[in-house]
Amino acid sequence: MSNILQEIESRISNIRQEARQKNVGIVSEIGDGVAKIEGLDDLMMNEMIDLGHGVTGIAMNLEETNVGAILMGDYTQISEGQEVHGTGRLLQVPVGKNMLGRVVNTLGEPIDGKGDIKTDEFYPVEKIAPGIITRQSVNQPVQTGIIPIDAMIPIGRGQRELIIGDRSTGKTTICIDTIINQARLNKKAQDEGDTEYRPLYCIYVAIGQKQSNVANVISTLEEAGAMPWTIVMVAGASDSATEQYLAPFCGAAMGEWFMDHGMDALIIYDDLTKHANAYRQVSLILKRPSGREAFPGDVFYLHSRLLERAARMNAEHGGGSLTALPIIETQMGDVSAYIPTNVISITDGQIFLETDLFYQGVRPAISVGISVSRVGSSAQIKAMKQVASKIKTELAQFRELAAFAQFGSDLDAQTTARLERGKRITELFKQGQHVPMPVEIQVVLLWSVQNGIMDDIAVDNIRKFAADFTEHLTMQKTPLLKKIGDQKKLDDALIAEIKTVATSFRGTWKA
Amino acid sequence: MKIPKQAQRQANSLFNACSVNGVPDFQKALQAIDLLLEKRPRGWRQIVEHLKKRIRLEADKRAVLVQSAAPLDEAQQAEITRSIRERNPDRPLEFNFAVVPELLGGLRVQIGWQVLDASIRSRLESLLESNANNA
Repeated sequence: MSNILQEIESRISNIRQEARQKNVGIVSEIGDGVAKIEGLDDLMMNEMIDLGHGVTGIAMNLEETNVGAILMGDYTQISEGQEVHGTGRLLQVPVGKNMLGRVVNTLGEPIDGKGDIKTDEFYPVEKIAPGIITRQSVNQPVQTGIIPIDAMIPIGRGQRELIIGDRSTGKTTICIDTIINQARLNKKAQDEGDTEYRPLYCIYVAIGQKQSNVANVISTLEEAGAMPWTIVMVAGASDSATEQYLAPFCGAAMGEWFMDHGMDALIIYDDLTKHANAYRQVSLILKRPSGREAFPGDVFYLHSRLLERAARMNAEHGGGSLTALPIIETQMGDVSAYIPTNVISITDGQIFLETDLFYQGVRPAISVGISVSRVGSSAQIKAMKQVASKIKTELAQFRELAAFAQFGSDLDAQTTARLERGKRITELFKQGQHVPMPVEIQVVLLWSVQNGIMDDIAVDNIRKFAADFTEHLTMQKTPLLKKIGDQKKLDDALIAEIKTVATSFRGTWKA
Repeated sequence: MKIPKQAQRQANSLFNACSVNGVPDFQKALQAIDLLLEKRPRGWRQIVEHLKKRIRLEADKRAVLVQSAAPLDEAQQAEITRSIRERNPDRPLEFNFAVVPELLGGLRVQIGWQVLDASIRSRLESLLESNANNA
């Protein structure tokens, strides 16, 4: 009993005796997720406003006679004439490793039913991107496990690579496969006790997505064992436009924690088209002047300030990185629309997915001719650079000749050989969903196709050959794969070994 | 009433023109309204409406509401008035005193849109919040 009394006395004596100072205002208008508030002098931009009943507002318009605020929470509880007050704080989200493995909403609150997330650290949602001097050039690979990407459109840690295409062309699948591959690599390094490998933590931000799609994604990640290295943030289609607008920035804050602490993180924004639409909605309700396609004038700045937060820091600032894979959905392949062109000009490359290729059976439906990575081979291990350097040229020649060969004219032997080689490379690039391929196996397969091992295999059997060869390498040639993984480049001895293995397997393989 | 941007701009210009040494003068603002009602330029109703809003908001900024749990005598009121005027020498202020028993004790002073709450109710709320954060 006396302990309780002492505790109460101690708590009473600990409270501050000064008067509480508040900046107050009166709600003059409320509706559609936006409130207009009179008063609130000296309020700062993006300051949080406490409207009571668990509703928080964020100041977006600071006008002469009122403040326009976007609302988070059940704003139907708020009425006109109600007193509200500024908090003096900017919006923050919880960050840290405790967020891994959890599904959270825009504010970082768990929505997966697994209990509260204990964290002491909070990062501001809006933050200025790292400066020029603190950055370092990108030269560490992000192995997606998808052959056409790792071979021809390599992504590096700290890069922003846009994934763009029509609906249902496999944009989200590419990102999920990337996450699954990172989990595989992280787990492998953990099991082997490899302290030199830098794990890549993943953040998947779902913006305006259907809940069923998000549930599928989470289920896929759980089945693949990827969740322990992943944070899933959801601002679904049924969430307010405010939450959809803020979600990417909140996800970026979580990613920045890893970057600032010398670790590497990957963040996926799925997708920024819906993000721009949510921002358009709140801007129109705030009566901001609208521009092209009814978007506000600063829609470019919306995405540029978000994507600039992805960077690779130099050693002096921890050496961490944040890689961004934004997704943009086009309509009928129109990449010259407003939002797609904005984001293309911001990112360090783009991966185009085409509906035609998808329905022709080329999956992932990556158009390698127009896809580009501005980081390029700096983000590839030497072994991959050695085998992949000629592939893009060969494929470009194949596409040119394929159009020509449609006329059915007689072709010389060299042209025919190029066509046949191109068909086989295209077939090799096809890959199943959620089965990312280790880079060592990719190197062996690409070397094999480049050096004629598959020339006498029918095009229709290429995938079966690749699958069987992969199984053979995984089950019986683990030392070879380990050598490629450790050395990361192909010297003469290793090339000779690959040649022996490939030739020997081809000799015994039957379709 | 929907007030177009142009009317708002005109009303704001008028309001700023009614300032003396940076402080809006309500007498001049009333003269401006009389002139508007007399001359009735295009959109005069919206201009008057917005000017009225600006004057109301300025009046709110000058209002000082002193709330106490028990009535304050004249000496206490004079002391509070003097103290607040000393801290805001350049601002014209209008004082109102109210009794709010729910405060339990102490004072709650609202100067414009700034509130200084030294009431017992506020301290109890602070104690509850602090307990909730520690829990």
